Amino acid sequence: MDLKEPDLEKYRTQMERCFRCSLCKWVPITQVKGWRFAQNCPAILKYNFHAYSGGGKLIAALGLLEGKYGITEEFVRVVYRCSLCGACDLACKIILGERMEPLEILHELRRRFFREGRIPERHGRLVEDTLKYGNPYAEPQEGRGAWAGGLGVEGGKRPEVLYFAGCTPSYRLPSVAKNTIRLLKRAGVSFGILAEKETCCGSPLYKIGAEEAFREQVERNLEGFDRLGAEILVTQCAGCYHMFRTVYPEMGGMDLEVLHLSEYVERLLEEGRIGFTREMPLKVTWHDPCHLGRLGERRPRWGGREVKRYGQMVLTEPRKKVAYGKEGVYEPPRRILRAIPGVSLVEMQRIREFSFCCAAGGGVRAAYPDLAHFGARERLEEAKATGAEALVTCCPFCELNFLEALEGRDGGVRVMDLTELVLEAMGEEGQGLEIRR
Amino acid sequence: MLAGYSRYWAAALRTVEKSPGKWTPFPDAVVLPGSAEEVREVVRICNRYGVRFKAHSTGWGPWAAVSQRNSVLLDLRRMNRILELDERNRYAVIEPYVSAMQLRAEAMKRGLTCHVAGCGPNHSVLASCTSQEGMGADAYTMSHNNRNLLGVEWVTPTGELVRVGSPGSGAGWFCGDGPGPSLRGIFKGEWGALGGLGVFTKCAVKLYPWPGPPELKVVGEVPNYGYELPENFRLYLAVFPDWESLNEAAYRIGDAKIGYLVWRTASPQFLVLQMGSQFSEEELSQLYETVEAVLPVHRLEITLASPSTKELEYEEKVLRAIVEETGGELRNVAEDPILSGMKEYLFAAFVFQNYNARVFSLTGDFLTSFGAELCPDRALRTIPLGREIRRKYVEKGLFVRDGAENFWGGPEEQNRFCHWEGLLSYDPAERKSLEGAMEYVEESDRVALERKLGMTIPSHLSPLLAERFSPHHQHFQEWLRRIKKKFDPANLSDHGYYVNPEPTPPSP
Repeated sequence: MDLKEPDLEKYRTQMERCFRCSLCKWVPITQVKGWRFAQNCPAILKYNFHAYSGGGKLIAALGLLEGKYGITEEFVRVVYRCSLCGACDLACKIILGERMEPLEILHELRRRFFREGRIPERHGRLVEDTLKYGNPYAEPQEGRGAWAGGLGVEGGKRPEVLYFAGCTPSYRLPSVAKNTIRLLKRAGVSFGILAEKETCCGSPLYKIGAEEAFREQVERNLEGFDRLGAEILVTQCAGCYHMFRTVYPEMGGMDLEVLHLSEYVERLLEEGRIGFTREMPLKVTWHDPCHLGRLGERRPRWGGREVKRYGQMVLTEPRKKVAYGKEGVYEPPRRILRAIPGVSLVEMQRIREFSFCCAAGGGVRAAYPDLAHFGARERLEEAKATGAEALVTCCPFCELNFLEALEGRDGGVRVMDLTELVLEAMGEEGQGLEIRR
Repeated sequence: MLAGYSRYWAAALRTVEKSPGKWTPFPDAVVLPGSAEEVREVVRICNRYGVRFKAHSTGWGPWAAVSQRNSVLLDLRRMNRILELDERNRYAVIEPYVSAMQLRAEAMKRGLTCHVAGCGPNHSVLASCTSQEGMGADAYTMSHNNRNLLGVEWVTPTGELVRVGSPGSGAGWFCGDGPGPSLRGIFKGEWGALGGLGVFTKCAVKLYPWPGPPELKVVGEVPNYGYELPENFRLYLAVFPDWESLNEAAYRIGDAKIGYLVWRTASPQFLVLQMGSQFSEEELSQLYETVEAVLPVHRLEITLASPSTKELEYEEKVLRAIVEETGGELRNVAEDPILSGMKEYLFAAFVFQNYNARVFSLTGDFLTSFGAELCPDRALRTIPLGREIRRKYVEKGLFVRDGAENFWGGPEEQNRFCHWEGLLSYDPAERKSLEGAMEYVEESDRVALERKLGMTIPSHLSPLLAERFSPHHQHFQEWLRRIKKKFDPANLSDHGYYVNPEPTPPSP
């Protein structure tokens, strides 16, 4: 087999550039606040071998490119025991700026593995299930909108908002979708849902390197969006948001304005369409989902080249805009929480663009649930250390992972979806998180 | 899995020594011991079967690699605890994978801090103390790690567990030399064995008073986060007409026993270039051309810090007088029209050294030259020499154009001695640049030998380069060989970056 790979080849210089500072394993140095919670990567934290770090995988990829070894079972585990959360990408760019794109390289490596059929067994089924059922949970497509039953959702044409529920609320955590509908109705928003016509955004496929399958899902979704004719797409799934906001536009689609639910709720608050009336005496901490935060920033394709300036200095031409994740969605949920009477927001150590990943994404929960649960427990420990009573977030996939990691036990901190808190503060009854099995 | 332990920077340095490129030999196995007892077991097994071994902590440097095949690498990542933080006696007992940024943050909560080596706070404190020299920008008050090491726990190359210094007599960790066996001169000497004499599993390290708050407020945004400057800290640039007056001022500042940090980070052009990603090409070009007005070449970055306002005022008065008397000019960073806007970043970069790894950012690699700890007058001689040697390479376009003078250093221990090392950025991916870097290392080492400027940093890190210096330094390699043979008769603790127990035959 020819181990030379034209796509990985594109990144050879970058891979060679890694000088193994291992800062990819840590939150930015200036943000280190103590011994505990200073590391940024669930995989290296659990498995320890350097290969599990961002830099370790770049070195491994370079060795593959140079034909030093082939793809082994161990290599597959190293590559896929990673949630592609981008924490290493940020840490590396703080040092190397425009000269490094670690996350792109990790994606490229997965595409290569996928093409060669070297993926975890579970991921093969995940692709089949997603294409067949329109969701990675292998649940029947016709039951996708069942959660909306009895909520009085009307299927009118050209609503203001298309609410895209996503796979996890549709099949595992219907309470977050139900809460959202009640919130939108209370605000008097004209909205529509795709119900059984809704299909997976393709995030799991994209992340595991299943390029063709992902394209299929993109096309299916774009058709569905056109049918409804809304101008704004709102979702509370951070994974879907990441796809619609940052990846779909790069594939030439997506004419709708894409908003995360937290952004839309903030807009409703500003417009006076909703308001908080009930005192909620609760100390909470906010978990920044990676897909909403650092990966929620647009990363436009850059087609330039590296040039030498000032003797040997490497610069990009045209200058590449470096994605540091600072344009992610961080403030809207915080402003909402601060606006709720009685709620006191305390911050964890790893937040915003250097937030610690719960480790569910990138196909990890499906293939390596032990790693996903490890990451979730680590994050819950961090939340607990703040003294908060509740960890609040607005990513159903993170929430599902947190709940599964707790296995029904009291982790010392309650996991809440933002919609529950918002509804309660509006004087309504918000439903708590409960996994539908 | 093994590849991750086989690729490091300093390609040119390795080229001088062995083979070109960043790849190092793959270890045959990597183990992750969780305790000194497990380390000892691994070492004993290696001794039983005649297998070479090498300790590895953060891996921040090529000397962390095994130097030949058929070796076991002990990744000490799981040994990552701060075991004790003795506020009263100002020391911490740590395991190998505790990084300086972690120890510093914990120490600050207790009014203390630790020295950070020049490679930046992501380094292993234990490795820096036990097996390297550990020079860094806060050496003015905290010296270098060679002198910060206290009690040590050591698994010798034959698998004995030895506690060196006061822990050897059960008296606590406060001293490296006793009561108990004093072996620091054996296992470390001036520069450490870089993994060539067993494995260090615990050590105590000196901590120093921290005059700031328990936690600093982070300000600014990614990628240039900074710290809000506490009220009792002041940052200055002391600007001089030439190196001689700068040197004279450093003497006087040290004699006056004032100052928290006195250092000179890098050439003005280099500092601008390493922040290049934040600027458009036009802005970068403009800054590059004008930077010397803002960050002059002959400057010291001086931080004053004191819990007492009166003392701070006194120190400022004395500093101002010294700088004026030596023909310089004192600029308060907070009042500088350009620098004040980035004072928080400069505080994090200069005082905390949080961005030191950016020395690699321009090309993906760098090298250094000179750098012996010498009396200030002698150390100063390296600067014009280094500049002259390097100008040729820079003019040929082989290195990054950083003004040909990219010396990093300053006074240590209130100028008891001094450090100046000359950095250079080359591109290992470009053959000519790589060869230029090799040639420069050779040339600067030769000049250091001829002019008796002490052992250079490259020669400390490469036993082959060290061979040339050994006859001029009491034949130290012969002594190291004797130590190596005595403590490691089977030669199993990887000697690749320490000393070959068998002398290298002279080149034909």
